[in-house]
Amino acid sequence: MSFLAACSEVSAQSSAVGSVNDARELLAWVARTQDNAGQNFIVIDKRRATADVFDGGGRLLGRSAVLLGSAIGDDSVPGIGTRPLSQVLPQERTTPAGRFMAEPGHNAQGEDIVWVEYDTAVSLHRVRLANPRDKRLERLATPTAADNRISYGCINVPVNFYEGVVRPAMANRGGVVYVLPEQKSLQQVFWPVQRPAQSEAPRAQP
Amino acid sequence: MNASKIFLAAIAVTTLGAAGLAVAQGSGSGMGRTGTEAAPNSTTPTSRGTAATSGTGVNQGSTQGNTQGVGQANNQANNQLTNQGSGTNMTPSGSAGGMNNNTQMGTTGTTGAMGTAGTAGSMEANRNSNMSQGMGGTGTGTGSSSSSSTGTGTGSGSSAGTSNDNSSAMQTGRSSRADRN
Repeated sequence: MSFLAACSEVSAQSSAVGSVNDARELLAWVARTQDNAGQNFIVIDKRRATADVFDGGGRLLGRSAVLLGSAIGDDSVPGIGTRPLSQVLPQERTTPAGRFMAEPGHNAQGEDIVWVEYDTAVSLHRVRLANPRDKRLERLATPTAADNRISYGCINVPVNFYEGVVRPAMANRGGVVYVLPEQKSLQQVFWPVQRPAQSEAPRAQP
Repeated sequence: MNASKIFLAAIAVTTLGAAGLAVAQGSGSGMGRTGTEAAPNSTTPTSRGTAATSGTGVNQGSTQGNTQGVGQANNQANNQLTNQGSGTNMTPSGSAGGMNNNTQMGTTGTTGAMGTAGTAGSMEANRNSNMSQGMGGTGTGTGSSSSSSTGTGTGSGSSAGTSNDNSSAMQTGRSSRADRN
């Protein structure tokens, strides 16, 4: 599926209008500027709690529901990456928005994961079922996004989606992960920091 | 690994000397063996050959042989190799010495170069465990000697210096750490 087709599908499947606009705008910008530089990339839509995985040419490889940080917000508090989970306050359990150079790696348990932002310890990994009270599988299964906020900031995906789509796409040399903001604008999150494409960045929507 | 041999021959009375120098680049460390050998001589000459190779990142190998016969004959051969880099570096072989009648120029010392390899280090990028290795430096060098001697005497010295350097660097990408679940 091409960029434009993906954009259309994003529109068709989403009920979060602002989120759809953001996703479409981001995809159009990536296609126009080749911001992914030929690398596979993933778009995480926090409002819809979805992940869209694309190859380097912008063809959609797969889409899945995801679990995200339980706190609403687009930033990570300083130093959170080095703190044990027991010391992460509920309001700090955000999944940060932004453009991240993702890379395959391992966590402290030796599980292969995709580091989205290593410094803040945000990774994309298979859904974890260690705590039954989290009901993570059930949350993934529901059609709503509201109950998909359960993690400390990491992005959880179904095991088969990780094995079949995410890992093949990111295993060799990583890729780009775009996490759409839920409070900030795209302009605030992405384009202030875009270097060569500054002049090509779309203007903020009124 | 390399072994070099120095054969020194001299005839008494005068002094002959030879020196060679080789420089290679690479890095590593090695320690060579020292060898001493006495040589028989009809005029009771003695000869000694010594070789030493030492260094860390820099290898130096030198050989020196002295031969004394009736009267005096002194042959020296000196070879140096400096290796910097990584991998397996070998000391040069060098020989110097001369058999002369009366006053003549001795033989020219052989080039003290050896230096194998010098293959570029290979690097493999891996986020979890990147290994880079470098092997070898290339050494080239020239050595020359001149000598003059009179008298009779034979001497031989042998030396072997070896250095074997293997260096590797482990480059670690993102180390394992706890994520945010």
